[in-house]
Amino acid sequence: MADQLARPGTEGGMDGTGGSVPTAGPRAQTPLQATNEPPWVAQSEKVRRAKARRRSLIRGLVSVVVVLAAWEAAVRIFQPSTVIIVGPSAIPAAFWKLAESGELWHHFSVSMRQFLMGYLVAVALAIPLGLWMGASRRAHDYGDPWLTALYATPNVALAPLFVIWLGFGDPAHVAIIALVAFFPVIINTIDGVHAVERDLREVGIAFRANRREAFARIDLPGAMPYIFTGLRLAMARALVGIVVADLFGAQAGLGYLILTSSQLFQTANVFVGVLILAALGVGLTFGLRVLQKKLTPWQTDVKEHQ
Amino acid sequence: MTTRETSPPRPGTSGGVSVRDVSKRYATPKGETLTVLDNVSLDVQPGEFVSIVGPSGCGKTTLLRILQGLEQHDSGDVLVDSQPPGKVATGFVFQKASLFPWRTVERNVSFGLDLTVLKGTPNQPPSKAERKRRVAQLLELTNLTEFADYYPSQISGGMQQRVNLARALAIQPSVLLMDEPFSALDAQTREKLQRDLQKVVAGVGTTTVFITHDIREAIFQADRVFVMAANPGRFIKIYEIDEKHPRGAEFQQSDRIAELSREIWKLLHVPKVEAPAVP
Ligand SMILES: Nc1ncnc2c1ncn2[C@@H]1O[C@H](COP(=O)(O)OP(=O)(O)O)[C@@H](O)[C@H]1O
Ligand SMILES: [Mg+2]
Repeated sequence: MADQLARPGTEGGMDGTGGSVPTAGPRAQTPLQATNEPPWVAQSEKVRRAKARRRSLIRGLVSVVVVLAAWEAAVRIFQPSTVIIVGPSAIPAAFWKLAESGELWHHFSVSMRQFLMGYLVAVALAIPLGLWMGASRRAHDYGDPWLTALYATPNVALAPLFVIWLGFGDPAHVAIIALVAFFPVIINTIDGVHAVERDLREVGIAFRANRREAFARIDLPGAMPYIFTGLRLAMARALVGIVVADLFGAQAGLGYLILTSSQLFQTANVFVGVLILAALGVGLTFGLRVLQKKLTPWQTDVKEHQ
Repeated sequence: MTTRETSPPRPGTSGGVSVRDVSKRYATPKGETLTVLDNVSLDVQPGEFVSIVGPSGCGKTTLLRILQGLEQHDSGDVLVDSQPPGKVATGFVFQKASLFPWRTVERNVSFGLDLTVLKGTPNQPPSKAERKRRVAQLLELTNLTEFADYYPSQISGGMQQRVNLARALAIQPSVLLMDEPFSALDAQTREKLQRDLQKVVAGVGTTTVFITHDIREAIFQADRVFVMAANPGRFIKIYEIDEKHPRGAEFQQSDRIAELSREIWKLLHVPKVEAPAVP
């Protein structure tokens, strides 16, 4: 790879100096997608990649359209009760009705508030703790039993406890969301620190970097790609957390909307709630990916699929 | 031995390297003890360039890692720049470039410059401008100026090794330790870098320990060449190379180097003949 990029003619005809594999992050496989591409990356290669991207997009769209059309057709042909299922065409109307009354915004904003607080609390605790546990053997020894035990337990099983402790309001919801989001972040952060190459740590030692410097300049940036994986996994789990928390008692929220709508046999409204959660998931994943590209510009191959 | 009184002393140019009767043993997977270094002694004068050649597995890397403070020795005394190893920030260039993938070429080179260990030492650039100038100078010297903003994954192996060299030189170390730094490179790049190294190191009075399995390279660089034998690792002969620095292509291609390298080659390939009579 390095050879392929070496520009011929630099320094008296030296090129193709193969042999040594470039050190790179755990997923920095191809230098071709980096933001500042070497000028000699073939133009045709860029075109080829753009085409491949477009083709993927079109296939995705075809897939969605076909499934929705089949669903709508099935509903129209078999005409089941609207209590059981509605066609996709019924959903926009339901959405509009809910939105117009302001009801939807109310549920949405309550859930978003809980989600953001829970997620941020989880991240704010999990990243520093994970870095600490990753870098310090002692911290790892003390923390690991708890981590292993709690990670193995389905966290949502603890949800009723939070409701007992914190009541039906926001605090219980935030706590439940934070709990489920916490583990993927801390575990990936620890793994990320452990995955930093020994050679790079030794560079720190050789330059006599002190602990704090080694931490900030080697462990943290080295763990970044893993941390982002953790953030994405945590985001998905936090969205589940929103719904689960609402199931154990709530006055508003997307989970509450889904629950009450299903109890009232308003199936279209159930779908509205589900689709909004799905859209949130897609949007937040995209947002995290953009953030990752900004914060880890050296990572040339940000994983596209989780 | 060539003296370098002509070159002006640089800040931080003080210490040599002193290794006295150092032994190092490892436990093999079978539970036996492997003596990697057996009572090894080595004195490198301040500003001197010493090469070490020896067969693979004779303990060269181990010795350098001890000097670097990355490995503990079992007995004997080691001083680097008059201090126990691991105290002074030495420059080091190992075979693998080990660049930080998240730093650009320029920021890799400047890595050592903002560490607290340099605070208050003459090695620290006195100002931001001076620091910038020093990094720019090293990039220039290693032909990397136009790649300053690239990430390591975007440059070739030869360039990476040059970044590695520049990163080590940036802190203007009084002691520079190199372990087969050019071995992964092709012959042409290697010879070019050998001459570059002469320019930047031999001229300025940096004490250097340079390990290689390329005998010609060892002779070309060094004031003294230490020849090592294996099992257990020890020095069997020392050659003085009387030739002014910086040395150029002419010396690189000279008959003197060819002849001497043949001699050392023979020594390495018939080790029993020259080995000291150890009871
Ligand atoms: N951490 C280690 N544990 C056990 N044996 C080691 C270790 N490091 C090196 N050795 C052994 O020490 C010997 C010398 O290794 P090394 O110093 O790398 O040799 P060289 O650099 O001269 O090729 C080898 O036989 C190697 O297997
Ligand atoms: Mg070695």
